[in-house]
Amino acid sequence: MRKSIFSLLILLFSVTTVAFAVGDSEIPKEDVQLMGKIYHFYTGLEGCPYLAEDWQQVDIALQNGKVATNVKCRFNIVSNDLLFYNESLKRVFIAEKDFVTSFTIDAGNADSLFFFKYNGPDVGYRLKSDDFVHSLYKGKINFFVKHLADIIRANDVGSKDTVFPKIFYFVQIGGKTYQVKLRYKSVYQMFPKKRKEIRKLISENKIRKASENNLKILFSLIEKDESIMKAAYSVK
Amino acid sequence: MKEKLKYILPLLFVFATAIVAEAKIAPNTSIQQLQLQKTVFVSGEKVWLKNSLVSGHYNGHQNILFVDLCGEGSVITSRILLRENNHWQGELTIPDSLETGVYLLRAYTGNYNGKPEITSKLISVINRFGNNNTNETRKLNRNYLAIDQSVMVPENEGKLLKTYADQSKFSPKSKVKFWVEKEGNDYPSGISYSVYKIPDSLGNSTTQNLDDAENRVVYARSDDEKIYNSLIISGKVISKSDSLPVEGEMVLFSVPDSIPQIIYSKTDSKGEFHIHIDECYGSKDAIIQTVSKDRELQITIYPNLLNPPVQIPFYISEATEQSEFVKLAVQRAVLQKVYSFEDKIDSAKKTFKYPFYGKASNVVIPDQYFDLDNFEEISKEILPFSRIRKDKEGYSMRIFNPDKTGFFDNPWILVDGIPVYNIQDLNVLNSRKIKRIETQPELRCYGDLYIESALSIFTYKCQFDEVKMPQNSIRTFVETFSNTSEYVGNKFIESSVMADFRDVLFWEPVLGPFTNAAQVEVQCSYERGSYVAVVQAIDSEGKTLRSVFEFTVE
Repeated sequence: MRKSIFSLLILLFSVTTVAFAVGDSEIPKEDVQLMGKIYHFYTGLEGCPYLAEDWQQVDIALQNGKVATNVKCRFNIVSNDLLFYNESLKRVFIAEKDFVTSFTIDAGNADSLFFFKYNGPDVGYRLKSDDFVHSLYKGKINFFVKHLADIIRANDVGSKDTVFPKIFYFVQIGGKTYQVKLRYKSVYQMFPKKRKEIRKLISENKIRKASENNLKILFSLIEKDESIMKAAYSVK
Repeated sequence: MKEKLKYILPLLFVFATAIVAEAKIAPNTSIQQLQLQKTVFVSGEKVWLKNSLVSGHYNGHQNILFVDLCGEGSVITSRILLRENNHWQGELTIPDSLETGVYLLRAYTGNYNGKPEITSKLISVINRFGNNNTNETRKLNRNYLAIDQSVMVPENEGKLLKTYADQSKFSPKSKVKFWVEKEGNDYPSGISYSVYKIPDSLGNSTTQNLDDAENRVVYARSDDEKIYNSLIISGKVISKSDSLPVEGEMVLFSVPDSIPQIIYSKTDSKGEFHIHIDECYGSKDAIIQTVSKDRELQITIYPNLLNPPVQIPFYISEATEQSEFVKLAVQRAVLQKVYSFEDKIDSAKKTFKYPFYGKASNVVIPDQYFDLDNFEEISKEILPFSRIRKDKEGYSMRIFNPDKTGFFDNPWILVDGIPVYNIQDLNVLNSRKIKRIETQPELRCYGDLYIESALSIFTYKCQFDEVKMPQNSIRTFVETFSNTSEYVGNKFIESSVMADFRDVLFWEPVLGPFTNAAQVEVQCSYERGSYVAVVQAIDSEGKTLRSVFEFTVE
């Protein structure tokens, strides 16, 4: 009896797996071509001009609809460029911005970071159209952060140029983009007539501390409330 | 153990029934159904087709459909279509020169193992100039059968689909409203609708009309045919000196274009290469070449279509050829050619194009300067970053790097998007022929290609017909994806001053979504006679559902 059940089990599962396994192996695979300009590394800098110290595995979505997966990359926060290591040419290139639509660092992991190319009006010198920004919340309201860094030239002999990383938060609603701080005051300014309603949402959902995560929750709640959303669109 | 089995067995039963319930046909099998707008065609007309697909769970390997019209031992015309939901739709033009006879229309895609899955239909073609040599020759062969497709009218199948109109007689040029009713929602490939002319008297034909006619077509045996789920040009590179395959050779595929694109592939140990051309539409004038120019190499391209059948054992009988229906069809086709209305509405797919060497930092338009007689002079006088150099080894080109004072000694040189390697060949280009010259003085990459700067020349014609073909290259027309188009007869305007002799009044491969009933409005032409309105679909088990409504235009 036991044997027959095991063989039945094996048979059932093999039917489903065989269908996945057959075939495609013989079809020649296509490589996704990345395009870029050669990258010249910084020399003599104090601090890290990249988003992370180490190279990261990145999935890059291209304008032609293809996705290059598991590419060894670094994000340069000084120039807002994505750098990639070309395995066959053994050199580092700056990914052509016109050719990239978005990229995901450590795709598939819980802590993956999704970057997309910002499309909207310039916000001072801090945010320009086509800048890569890190998406925190995407919906009717887009909440994202721009990582950037300034290089401060060394004044003293013997000292090095220093990298000062910064982050700026932005919210995009209905074609308008606002720079915000991690404070609820910034949200109230976007919806000046709906302060009460937003405060109620904050207290009801116990998100009193204005952290990145709580702001994400708040924006998702605001999106569901049409009266608050309308107030945002009516702000000149 | 027995206790455990009590739980395992019901679980197994649920699991098994879930699989059966979800997939009405086995997961890795598929059923296709080829449908045309009519059965008898006149040379110069178009065949409008729909190929529906019903499959188990895994049909991601069946995106591309190859469609061809075959004679005995020849592929007359072909198309490559991309799947839209669970069907393909498109059209195929029958050449005006095609002789009267019975031909085979094939539609095929690759299954799991790359093996072709073919569905086909015989079609009768009448040459409008009376050229029927092929048909006459076939009549002499005893094994060939006469077939009359004009009398083949589809029959009702199943009860889930229904079409009708409020009357069965209409006047020429009147608008007819047909109702389409459906039960349930089991139509994975959508519901098609066609209205076309049929002979006034059916069933008097002495010819045989066989249900298994397509199965009688004879193919030559071929075991190694592969149909990939990607549009691929495959070929082989061998050395001309010893005919041995060349491994690791970079093969470039490019098309004359104002935005230079390049596709490349490396040869394997058999000297074979596979170039993916998934983003191309229409027929392409392609130049395929190797990067190595130091020795003579030969490039051979494999055909990407299946071999045509060797025998289509049917002919059109004398009676059919001389029938009133066929004669009128030829007259109609001639008149339609004279009063040709706008041919088709193309929904050309836009593909993202970007020069593979990046955006140029410098553009020179020779027309803005004094006339220069050859490219050497152009380079010397008006190009800011490049210089042609002559030495014992011949001509070479250098591009100045404006960022880091230095030179690039191995720039890519392109003419109309085609890489050329012999600088001396460029000298045929002068100011009157060149529209613009782009320079890209940067180190860049495009996939595995290392681009040590680029100089790109565009001629006025942009057809790469001024410069000699590069060494180790071939030029060939490559059929890539066809854009979908809509049957223009559906939108024939009532008040149009043009003569309207359409025999196909309506052809819609997929009717728009509707709940239970929909109305289809059809405009009759001047052509009097009998017509049929056919609504058709296949369900998820691959069964044909069809309803036919006959009417007359008097």
